[in-house]
Amino acid sequence: MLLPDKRGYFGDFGGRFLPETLVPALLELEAEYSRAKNDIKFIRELEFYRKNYIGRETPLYFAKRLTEYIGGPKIYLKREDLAHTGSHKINNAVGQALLALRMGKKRVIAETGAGQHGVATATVAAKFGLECDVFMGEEDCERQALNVCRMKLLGARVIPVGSGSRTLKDALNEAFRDWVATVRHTYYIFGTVAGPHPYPMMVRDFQSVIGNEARKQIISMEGRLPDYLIACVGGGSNSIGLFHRFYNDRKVSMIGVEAGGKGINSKLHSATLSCGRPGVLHGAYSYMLQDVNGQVVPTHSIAAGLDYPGVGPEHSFYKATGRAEYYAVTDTEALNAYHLLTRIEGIIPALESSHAIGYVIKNRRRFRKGEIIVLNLSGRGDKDVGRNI
Amino acid sequence: MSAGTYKMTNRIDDKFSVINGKPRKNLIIYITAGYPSIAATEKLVLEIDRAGADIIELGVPFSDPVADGPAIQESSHYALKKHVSLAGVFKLASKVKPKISSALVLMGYYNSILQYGLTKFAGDCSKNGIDGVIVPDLIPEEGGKLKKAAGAHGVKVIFFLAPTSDSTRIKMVSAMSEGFIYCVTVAGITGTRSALPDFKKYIDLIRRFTDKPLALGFGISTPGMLAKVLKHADGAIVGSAVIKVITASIGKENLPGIVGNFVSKLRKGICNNGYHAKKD
Repeated sequence: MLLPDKRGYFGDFGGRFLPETLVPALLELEAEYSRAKNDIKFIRELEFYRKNYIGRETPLYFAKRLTEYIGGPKIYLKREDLAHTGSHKINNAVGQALLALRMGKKRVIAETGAGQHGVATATVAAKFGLECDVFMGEEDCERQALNVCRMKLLGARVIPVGSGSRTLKDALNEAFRDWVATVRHTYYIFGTVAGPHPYPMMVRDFQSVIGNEARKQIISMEGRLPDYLIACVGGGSNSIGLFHRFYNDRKVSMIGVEAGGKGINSKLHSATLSCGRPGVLHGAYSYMLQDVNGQVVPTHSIAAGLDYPGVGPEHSFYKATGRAEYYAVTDTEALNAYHLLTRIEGIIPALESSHAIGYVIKNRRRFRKGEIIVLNLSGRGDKDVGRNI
Repeated sequence: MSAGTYKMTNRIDDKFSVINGKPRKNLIIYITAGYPSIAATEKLVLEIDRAGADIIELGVPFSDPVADGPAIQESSHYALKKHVSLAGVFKLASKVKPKISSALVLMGYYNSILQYGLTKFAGDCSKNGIDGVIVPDLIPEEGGKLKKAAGAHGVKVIFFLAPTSDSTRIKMVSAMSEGFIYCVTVAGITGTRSALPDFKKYIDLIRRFTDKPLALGFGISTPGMLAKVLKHADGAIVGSAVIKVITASIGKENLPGIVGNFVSKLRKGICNNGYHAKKD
């Protein structure tokens, strides 16, 4: 399977760009992870929690009425919204919590945008008896208030971040700043496939369970591979989780859907791969949204989980090599999709996942009858109820 | 040194020149370029030089300074609001360099340099009197390209060591770092602290692997701390404490004088403790 090289590079993208203080911790993590993934005890433990705690495998659901509405391709939804805590984020949080335990760390920290990764981390911290601090931008605390309540209920401390744009990017900055000072006893449960090596690889591996299951499921249901994989991309963990297993299935097209905000010409968006260029942010060389001087520019999305100026290096590699295509869907298109899916399938999708659905609706003419789409429904939308209707 | 020859000579080695078998002690002062304005920074550099700094670090403001605490973060955002860019910092450097005897070093995050272009950056450092570069998010494993580009223009790249670095990393960083090694006093971000940890063992460990000069930074804010640091290290870096003095004096006409006085006091702290600290 495709791997980053020893230095954590996917082609030109990835690496390790961060203060020296953290490097020993990353080397230790890399070594521990490589032991763990070949340790039958760890593998069985992860398998146990996936099945009995997360509730895997998640269904691959044929969305009959959405299919009829679109009037062309057959649309299957990978139901990550049905995973414990309501999104795919738990797949990674469980894996990393088990690593934290192996490494004897007593405290975990996390950054969160929509609050889904924060909730997943708070959940595993409660489950395994770890102290937990979650960094969350002030703006995100306001717009995802339900998840703030859930984290607190689970016993985590939520630390609102008031610097910069007060969103996910700034939560990441603060989490790194905390970690530099606490690295000896603290494990950083990084939430997406970005960041310094080994995070992009490790989070990808933990999320690949999505694609592993979906591939088996679609073959058993349709007797063949899908024509398209579609998923939203913020940092990129649910999409890489779906895409990765299909990398060598060259006939399967991959479409990543970014947050187009108020339109990609408006400067109020988070479409990193569509509009950005490569640079170094949060520990890796990857596409990012920046001005001519390399300063990170403010982003916008109605979906807090996509409101981020960076993206994981494996996505940059997929883009540069043409393995995946990336497009942007606006706030309005995502909101329409959110309402539509809720009304015709009885599934309230997260605003993040609604971007993927929005892409299919917007580009229905691109797809032909008889084609098969597997779309990752990465999370449920309870958290978004009440603020946009 | 005659005027105009600074392009040819790198001052960092001079500053750490060996006296009685040991490098001389250096006071290194950090300020954020463009805080509170480029014009103010120009005056500040001259005043800090006059007050006895050996090396002046000019911070290139960046939108996401993950290695910095609140004081430097805020100064950085302040400068960015005034549209301070790397090109502007170079312009400033070329103006002040002929007027000072301190070495001039840039401290900036890697993306600013990368987007400027490594080769162009190295050339412009050399043209504008920059003796060295410190990049807090660049580690030796990723620093080869910058070092090669900078080396072609006689500009030094200074790397970091931290209390978490083991002997393997100490060897790697020592081999890569030029001029001196920036040793972080504590695992953490920049910012003033009420006390410093015991760093003697850490310094002793590093000395077992290298004879390059060692400068300590992060959390050093008073003459007393400075004296303690320079008992073991060859240089001490004061940053956030200076920024705080600037912050408290923004709008005052004698801002450069106030900051100069602060630096003079730091300087005296070194002399009073009997370490070789005479400025050229």
